[in-house]
Amino acid sequence: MNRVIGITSTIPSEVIYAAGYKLCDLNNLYIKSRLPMDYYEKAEIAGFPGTYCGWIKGLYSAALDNDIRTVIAVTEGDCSNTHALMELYTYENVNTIPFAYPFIHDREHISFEISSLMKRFNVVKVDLDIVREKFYKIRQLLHKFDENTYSESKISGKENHIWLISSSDFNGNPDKFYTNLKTRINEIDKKTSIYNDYIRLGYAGVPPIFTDFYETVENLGGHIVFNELQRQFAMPSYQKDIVSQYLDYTYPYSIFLRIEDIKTEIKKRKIKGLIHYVQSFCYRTLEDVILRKELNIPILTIEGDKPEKTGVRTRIRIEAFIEMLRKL
Amino acid sequence: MKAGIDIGSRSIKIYFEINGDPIRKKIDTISFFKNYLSSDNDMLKIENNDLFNGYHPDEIIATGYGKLATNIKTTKTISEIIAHAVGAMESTGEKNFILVDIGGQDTKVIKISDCNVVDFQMNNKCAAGSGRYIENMAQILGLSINDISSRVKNPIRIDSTCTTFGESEVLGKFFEDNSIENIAAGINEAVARRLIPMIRKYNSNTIFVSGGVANNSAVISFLSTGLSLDVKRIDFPDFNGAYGCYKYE
Ligand code: SF4
Repeated sequence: MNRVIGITSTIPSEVIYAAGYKLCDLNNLYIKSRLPMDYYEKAEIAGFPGTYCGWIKGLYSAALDNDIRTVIAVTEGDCSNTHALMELYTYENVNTIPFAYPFIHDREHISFEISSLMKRFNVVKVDLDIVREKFYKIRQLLHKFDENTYSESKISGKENHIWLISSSDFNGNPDKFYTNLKTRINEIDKKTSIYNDYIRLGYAGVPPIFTDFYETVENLGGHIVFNELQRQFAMPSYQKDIVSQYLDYTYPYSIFLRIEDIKTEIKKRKIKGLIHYVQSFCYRTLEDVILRKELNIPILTIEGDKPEKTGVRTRIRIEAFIEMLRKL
Repeated sequence: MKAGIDIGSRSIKIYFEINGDPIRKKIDTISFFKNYLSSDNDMLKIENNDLFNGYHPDEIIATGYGKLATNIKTTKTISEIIAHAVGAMESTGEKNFILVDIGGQDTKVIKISDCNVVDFQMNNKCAAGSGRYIENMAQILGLSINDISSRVKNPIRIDSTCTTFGESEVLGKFFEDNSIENIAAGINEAVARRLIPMIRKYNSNTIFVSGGVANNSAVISFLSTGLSLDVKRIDFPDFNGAYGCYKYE
């Protein structure tokens, strides 16, 4: 097996690093690439229909283009499209390993999934605990960084997004990630506040596919101080054991767990409005209905399709939303 | 002197006052860009001041789709939502209502409570049910906008308000031997029907309509019937955005 393993979403990365492999989150590989639109188009050339999620398209091409030979695919709790994606990978001779966040949210089921993954990679508990300890330190640092984002007005929404989202694979090198983050926190400590006059916003939903989303919001006077799922990727609640940790991780389970989490953070971070991002053709779009009913805060729902710049119409809507919040 | 300007996708609307008298001007967007703006370092500037009847406004507030493409001196830009909300509050004197703005390319439904915009809906990409849709359908039926906008009787059910695909449905109805008048009524009804769920989302009995399509009395009448409410038109509905800019403080 090639030492790099691709993932379609956050998985218990401790297991894979304990087994001596490196992880590569295909979402990050796709969207951070120089020309993500090329990946998108390659999938369409391969036959993906226009009416299909832009993230899945990129995941497909990114794995093939970068010679990723093994992919752990999250088959439950993430995206129903992943099943077909796995079949396509298999067809292209990419080895696939399924991982499921069980629909039944309990210890027994998630514990079974994690043990299966450990077995698959021959990982024993002692080795796993060493890696967990190390990751715990990194995650603590990430939480400090995240806390600084809303308490100090020095960190941009984009930087918050990038650090948190990168915690799914720690950019393939957890040690380096830790050192870089530490340096960055020290650098930021010396800065003065920048965003005091900005409108404090939250961001909920899957990560935006727009290539300039955070810059756009910032240029229009919004400061995103809460990136919901990105923060979840960094596992905000530390638990003694790995099973509890992945039980507390809200993203793959029901929307109601997420709503509880969002409510707490809105209050804590003094957020004035929430941007709910939905991906075109994604089943999660429906969850917008519940989110709007449950959250007592102005919400702007925006939709993205391709990895391109935020379109004029979306821009106009974000602008109006920020202006509205400013006057409220 | 102050002026408000709404740079829409189809036309530019200007509002200003001279000695207290309101002046309203409407110019086609393309000819506005051609005749009144000059390209300079990729930025556009107003060069022809007969636009303001020879006056030089020292404050111009702009809104609309094209506002970012213009770099008009002394211009402040505000979002369309705020411009329309201010315009409607100023011209109606109301503090709590729903404003439905149906423009050339988009539709906005804005909820105003205690003089604040508290929520809005605005189409993301497509121009379904907008002024452009009605224009396209009128063209297919060989009717003028005025002809179409008075048709309320016996509407034929039309489901697609897509500016492009709506065409085949309307043609289909025509081939089925329906009268042009009834199809025209159906088009107006389809526009209203598309808006009703958006308006119903907000609980309010006071509804105003602005934008060019507000001049279409059939759409207003279908809205009133569908909502069982007296839906009202804003005075000079197509100038509501420009007027809001003028009144914005
Ligand atoms: S955005 Fe939705 S459809 Fe696309 S990969 Fe994510 S969960 Fe699946």
